[in-house]
Amino acid sequence: MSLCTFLSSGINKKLSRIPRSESSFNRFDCTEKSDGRIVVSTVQRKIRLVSDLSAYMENMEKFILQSKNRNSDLIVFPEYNFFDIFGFIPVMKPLNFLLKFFHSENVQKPDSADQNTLMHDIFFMLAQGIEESMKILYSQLARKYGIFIYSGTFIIKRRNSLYNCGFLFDRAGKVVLEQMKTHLTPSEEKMGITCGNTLETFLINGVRFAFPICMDASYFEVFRILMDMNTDVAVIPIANNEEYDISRAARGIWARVQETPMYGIKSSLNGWIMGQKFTGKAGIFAPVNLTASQNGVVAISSAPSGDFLITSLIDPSSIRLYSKGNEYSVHHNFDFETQNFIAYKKYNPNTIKKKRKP
Amino acid sequence: MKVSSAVFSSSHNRKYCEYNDILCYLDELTDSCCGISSEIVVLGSFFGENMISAAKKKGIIFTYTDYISILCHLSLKKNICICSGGVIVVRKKEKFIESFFICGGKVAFSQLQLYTSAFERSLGLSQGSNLEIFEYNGVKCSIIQSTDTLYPNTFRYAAMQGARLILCPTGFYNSYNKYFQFSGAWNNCQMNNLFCIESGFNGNLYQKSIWGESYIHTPLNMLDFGRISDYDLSQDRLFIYADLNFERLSECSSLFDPLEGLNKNLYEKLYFQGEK
Repeated sequence: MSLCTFLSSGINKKLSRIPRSESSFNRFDCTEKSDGRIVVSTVQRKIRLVSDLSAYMENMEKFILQSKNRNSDLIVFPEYNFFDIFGFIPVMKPLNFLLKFFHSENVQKPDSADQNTLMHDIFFMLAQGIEESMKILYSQLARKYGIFIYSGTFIIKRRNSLYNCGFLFDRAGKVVLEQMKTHLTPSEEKMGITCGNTLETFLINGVRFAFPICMDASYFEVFRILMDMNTDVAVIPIANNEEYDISRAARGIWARVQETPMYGIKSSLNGWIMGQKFTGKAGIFAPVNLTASQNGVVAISSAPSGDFLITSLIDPSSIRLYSKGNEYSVHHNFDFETQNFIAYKKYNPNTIKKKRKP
Repeated sequence: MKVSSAVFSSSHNRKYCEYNDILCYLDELTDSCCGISSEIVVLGSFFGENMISAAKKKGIIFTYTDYISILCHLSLKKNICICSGGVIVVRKKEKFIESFFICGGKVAFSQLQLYTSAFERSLGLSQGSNLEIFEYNGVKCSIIQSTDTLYPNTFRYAAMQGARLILCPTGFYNSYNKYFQFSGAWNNCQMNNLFCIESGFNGNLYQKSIWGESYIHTPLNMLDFGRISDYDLSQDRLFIYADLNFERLSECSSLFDPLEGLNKNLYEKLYFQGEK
């Protein structure tokens, strides 16, 4: 039995023991608002290795309860919202501690091919189990609290390919949207994850939401497509394995909602797993002119590590008004944009590399 | 390669308000840039228009061609390349904003502004249709000016054509907000791993207050704050400068190049499936 099969079978066994929620019926107010506004909560949370699914569920439920107490219609969880279950592996907790202890800030560890293959194989064997159990778990929680839940992302398997994918559950616990990551990080590519090629939106209380993932926020193209789909709010779950830096953070969703006016909701994962440090602040962003502080930040957590729940009332009418009526409202130049379109068609990474050589 | 970005703040505008003062400013600026062996200096958008307006107040007949002639003369005399910043030009009965790149006393290249703001449209200005790339000392460059800096597809297109240095004359009409400006050129340098010389113009023209700060930007992967040099409002500097290392830019791109991650299948849906 290979190491991969051994680890996967142990985790899969535990994943099959899905805890039942104490109360399956909804005792919370879940009336739809009719004024076209919506309250959204976004989670910033620390990875906590757990030894069973009920501990994981308990951790998630705390955030959901808190968001429900703030009258939220939607709660958003971060990317890779399942790392905690690697605690199912018996030696994982001490191993994680040791890797964190011996982690050197200055050493850039190259990704080894063996390590990437191992990660790919582990994800490949676990993907189905993770997807099934997480879907049941978040469905129960959405139904119990009568709230829309964006589950954050998991690695899923479709026709022998792995994807980084997030799910939206409605108040009845039904999956109403599935969004795959459309731009991968170099390490995800090396791990053999495949990128999706479509973007979906979903209407909640008359507000149109989209759910691109982490690296997708580094590509303006995603947001221009979403703008054409009349998106009001882009939700971005992230898991950044680097030290927090405000300038680096500003390159993502903050920048995207400036150039393509919409609200941006960022949920982030932090903490340590397998010698990797994750940081990031959860926050809610909008075009600078629509924020009280004039800096494009509606609300943001106070630190890049630890647990936070950021909540805000979203009024898409202000964005819609701003998009049409400001000095620099997005305008089209079809002649130039046709050239852009052709350039993408001709796009070949190797040609670009050659072009950019000095 | 040493490059400079002209600073023309509100206090400069007060100091150099007359036509002759502006001539002196240009002389001082190019002298100072040459003093540090700068190869290129970028002027803010509308700087030329400001000069045309000052000349008109004095009763001097002075058009954009005269302004460009002055820059050609300075370029030749002081052996420096000058990006003029945007001036209003008429081409085939249509009005555009155009910036010129002057090298060795001649116009080597010019670029029409591609996108217009609401105010620019109210002035009857049209949009250019091409973004051209030109080569200076083996470096592919492009001019992306003012309103165009707020359109990320301009920088993406330039980067896809191999550009590594972008000249950005800017001047915005809305109320001052430095975060707003950062969402333009700085943001796009990050998204495409480019160097960018951004020069802001501050003053009043066409009954509008125009603003812009001067920066020289670099990708964050090369430096902590993504800008090599920025204009400090407390100082009355004529220009800011930086020494651009294109070899390091290539190293930076070899570690992570955002262009390699483009998802062309997804972009089939960009720009209304490419239809007009």
